[in-house]
Amino acid sequence: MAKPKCIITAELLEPYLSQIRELCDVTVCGWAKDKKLMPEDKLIEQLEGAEIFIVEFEQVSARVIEACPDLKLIMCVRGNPVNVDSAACTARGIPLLYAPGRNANSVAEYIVGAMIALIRNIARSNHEIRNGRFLGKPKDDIYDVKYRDDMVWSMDIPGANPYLEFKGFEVFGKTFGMVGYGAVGRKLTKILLAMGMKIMAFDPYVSPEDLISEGIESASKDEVFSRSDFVSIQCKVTEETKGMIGAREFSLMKPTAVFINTARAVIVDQRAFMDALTQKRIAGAVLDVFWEEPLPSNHPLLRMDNVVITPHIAGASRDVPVQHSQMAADEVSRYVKGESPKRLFNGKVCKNR
Amino acid sequence: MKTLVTARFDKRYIDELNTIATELRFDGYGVHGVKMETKDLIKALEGVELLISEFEDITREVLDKADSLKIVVCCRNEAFASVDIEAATEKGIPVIYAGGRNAIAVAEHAIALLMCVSKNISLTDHLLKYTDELTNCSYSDKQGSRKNIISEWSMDPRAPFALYGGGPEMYGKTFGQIGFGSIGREVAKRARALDMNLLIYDPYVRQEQVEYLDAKIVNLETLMRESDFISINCNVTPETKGMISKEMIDLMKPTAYLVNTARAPIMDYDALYDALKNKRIAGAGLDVYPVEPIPAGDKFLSLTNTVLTPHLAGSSRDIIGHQTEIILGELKILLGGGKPRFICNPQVIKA
Repeated sequence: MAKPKCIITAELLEPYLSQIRELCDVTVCGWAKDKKLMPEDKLIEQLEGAEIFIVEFEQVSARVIEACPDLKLIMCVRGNPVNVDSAACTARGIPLLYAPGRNANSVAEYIVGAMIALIRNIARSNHEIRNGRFLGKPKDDIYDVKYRDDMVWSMDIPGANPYLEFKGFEVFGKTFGMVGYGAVGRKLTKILLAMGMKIMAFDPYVSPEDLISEGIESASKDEVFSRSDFVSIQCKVTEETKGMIGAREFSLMKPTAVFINTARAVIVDQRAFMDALTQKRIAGAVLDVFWEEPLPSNHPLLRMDNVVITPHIAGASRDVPVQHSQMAADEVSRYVKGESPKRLFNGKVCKNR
Repeated sequence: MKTLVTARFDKRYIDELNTIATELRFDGYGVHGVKMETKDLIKALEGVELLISEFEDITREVLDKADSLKIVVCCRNEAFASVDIEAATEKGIPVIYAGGRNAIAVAEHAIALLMCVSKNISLTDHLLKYTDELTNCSYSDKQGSRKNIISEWSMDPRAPFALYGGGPEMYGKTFGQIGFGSIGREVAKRARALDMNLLIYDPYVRQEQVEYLDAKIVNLETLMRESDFISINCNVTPETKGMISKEMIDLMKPTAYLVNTARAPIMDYDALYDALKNKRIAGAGLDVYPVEPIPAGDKFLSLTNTVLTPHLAGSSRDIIGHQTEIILGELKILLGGGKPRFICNPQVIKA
């Protein structure tokens, strides 16, 4: 029997790519080949006769799906296959698979690093000293140093004591509130508990017993916002979550609390958030996602000291492809063996069959 | 015991203190933010048996005149900087200190510095705020029908995802902990929770003392050679001075990161600079320097694979709570006839 034809535009690593090659007639192209997204027409051309398509970033529209009648399986190696028209897959009876939690470690670690970078002024003091603040006079020989019992940056320049100006607080003993408890929440929980934090979570799709067994307090959304020192958005964009966080939620937050968003900006009302931040009704924010990306160059967030902002890279660790490659190889092997998929996104497909 | 507190004291512990103290009085730095003058301190110590201080200078003169004094507590890590230990020892007065009061602050800072440098958090925050490199630009894939895609900044090869993503996760990697004291233990505990393999170098610690972390005691060479992330947390002693030499830095993997929140003399900063500049190692997080403040124009200020903070790792508002908790625990041990862990002059305690 001939091997099924498989088109791969997702970045897949060894040994997983070779495992797929053993089972399929593989062509690697598009993003995976030259880090450029393949346009729709080219994609349709490539997919001719293909049974399996493993994609990462290319747009897979209804038109593509309709134009490729041989397609039997699409795997999008992302945590949320937003670039694939899921309804069109379902209509054609094509299972759409995805890679839930592939970047959960990356995002969880980012959240820990970035929140401490904010509250301990790591990012801010890093700018300040590179911009020339708090520095000493140039010295001919920096190794010509008199021994002192203790070393302090500077206590003698009035008004210029970074130790006091950048004094922050610890996450130890504080409360971390999660809005949404999925793959990222699970990874975070272990780290935050070891750091001595208390955790509460709001997620209508997770049972309170499951949360409690993980050491997490199950809470309403209002409780999460009113009692947490850190509130972190960790849910997907759905009709339910779009605009879910607005003026009411921000008004419940402690004035000392920090807001964290590594999910998607559209979950949060931009005006309500900016008002809360600029009026100091909340202490600060960590943001990796924005209402418009790239962030417009005149956005006020770019001039604020009490935020840590990064250009949508929280999930971008180099280890993410290892995770999704493993998942893709597993799914291809299941497909070839005729087993049902483990990571099905459009659940209705199976019922229709 | 008649008690004077001149330290910053966390009032949440007042009931606990009242089980030890009588005629409790607060004064000095903890109340006014200014150290008490010697003569005022001597006067305030009349009849006082227990002194809980922080920054006040407890000189020989003070100790000579305070003839009721039985115990001195100094809420600092380095009590010798404020208390004349020799004079206290001569008078048989135990000096308790708040060992590890900043351990949690430093451990959190060290872990965050490693994450900031390996995930380019500080660098991209800096580029966004202080340059227009990432905002004032148009990307090839944000045209036409893709203009409304909100799930990514841009997949253009010149976009931040390609340029500044791709850092390693800590998950599953090897963490090298140099020094396993109060701070090192806290750092190691966090590395373990990040699901890292843990190597520890500390000549004063035995393998069985680190079993609870699934850690392995190794020599320094092995630690430098095998670790993906390294944290230095030891004191400066004749043994540790220059310990992280050029030879040791040369052993590091090209993909490895290092953080120093201890003291600069432990490491050869010239060799470190060369390794960072030539990308022989991946990056570093630094909180301490050979000269502080860093001199203007210093070569480290131009490195992009480095996150620099101005000696802040121990600067946390929560330290008052930690020092209060620690010294009360130590006091109870002492008053219960035991031997406290954080005592400057253990020889004054009779067997």
